Amino acid sequence: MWWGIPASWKVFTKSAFAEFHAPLWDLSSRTEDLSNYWGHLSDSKQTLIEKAKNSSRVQADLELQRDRSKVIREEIVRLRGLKASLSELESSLNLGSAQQFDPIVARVSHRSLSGWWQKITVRKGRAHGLKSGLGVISNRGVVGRVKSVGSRSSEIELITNPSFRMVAHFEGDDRPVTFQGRGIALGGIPVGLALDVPHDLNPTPEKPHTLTSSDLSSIFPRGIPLGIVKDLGEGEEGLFKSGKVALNLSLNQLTEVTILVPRQ
Amino acid sequence: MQKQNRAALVLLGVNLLTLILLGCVNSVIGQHGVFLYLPALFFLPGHLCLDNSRGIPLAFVSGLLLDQQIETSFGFHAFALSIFHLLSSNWLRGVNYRKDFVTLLLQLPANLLFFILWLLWVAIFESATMEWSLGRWFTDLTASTLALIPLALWMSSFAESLLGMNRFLPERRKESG
Repeated sequence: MWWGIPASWKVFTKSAFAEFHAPLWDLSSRTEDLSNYWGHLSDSKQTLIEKAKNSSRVQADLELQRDRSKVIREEIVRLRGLKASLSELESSLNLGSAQQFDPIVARVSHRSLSGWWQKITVRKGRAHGLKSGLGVISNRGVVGRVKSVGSRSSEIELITNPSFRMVAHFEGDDRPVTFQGRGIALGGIPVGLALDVPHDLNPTPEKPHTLTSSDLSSIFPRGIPLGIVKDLGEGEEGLFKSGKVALNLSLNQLTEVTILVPRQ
Repeated sequence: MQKQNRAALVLLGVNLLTLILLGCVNSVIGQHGVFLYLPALFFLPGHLCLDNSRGIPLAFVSGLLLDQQIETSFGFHAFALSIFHLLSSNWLRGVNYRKDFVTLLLQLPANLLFFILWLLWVAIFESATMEWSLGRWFTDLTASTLALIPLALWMSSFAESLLGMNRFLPERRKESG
């Protein structure tokens, strides 16, 4: 009987439940932020002294950075010039320029990291210009892609899911390989798999290779780190190699992510 | 009749609250590779004072909420909880379930059965998109079984006190309390 019900009805019901849950996760996440704030308000005198010391260190660093700003401004002018000449060259050679993205920063309101499926919910949705399929990154690398979008919240499928496959490159090598998620192992260690790797690549535990995103995927820019490969074995068919990808441990503990919206 | 409908709404609220709290806990402990999977919590409150015509829809809606939250095949827990409700209601009404451990005797094996059913479902129908390694399965099973014991006891007494506060409990339950 259930299988006979139209898929559209199921999708509608599921998204209705998701919309119902979203404000609750939002509330719990905001409560956590507020309790952190109150926790800091009631810091002891000793902690306040420590924080004041840290603050003066940051202040001193800020002064140094201000001094450097003149050098950086000159560097910006130089880089802009280079970018303009690069665009000119691209247009003269009739090459399409690399896809550009607008970043949207979103706070994580809920994580569902079960053994079979891993997703996070963020506090931004359709109202902020998000849509399903967009790439998501953090300061540590690729996080996943937007799976479903609600009015003010979105669900993000993490790269650890077996359903997450994307084209990738090893750093310093242009040939494409396939990345696939392999879940979160015991102890909360996120794992992935590198497939279709050419035979001449030989990472070792002493000299691991970094796997990065490829602009062939169209939802990520090139060069965002995915993980590290320390060893490769023979693939199933013997034509290519495959091996485990050690993903960044902070993937389970993200509090903020950046969603990449392709520039039109 | 109206009393039963209101009791069903109160119990749905209890299930929802438990589901949200469980989601918050999982959001934190999931970072360490442990996930509390406790579907057996959600079919028992319906037995407290509801007949099957209200208990089954309650189990079904609770199952759909669970399916949405923990990303299982939409409808899996809805049907499984409804069937569990139907199968266990006769047994539970036949025993003296004033003692809390009697409900545990039902919920612990039911939760184990959910673990086995969902593992088989993932392996057979969802192998392309999902994966549940045996190592994680045993860790989750152990953690969930340990967490189920206090949670099941708390949840049934919480539901009973809410129903008692609103005078929705059947007479025989009040006398036993």
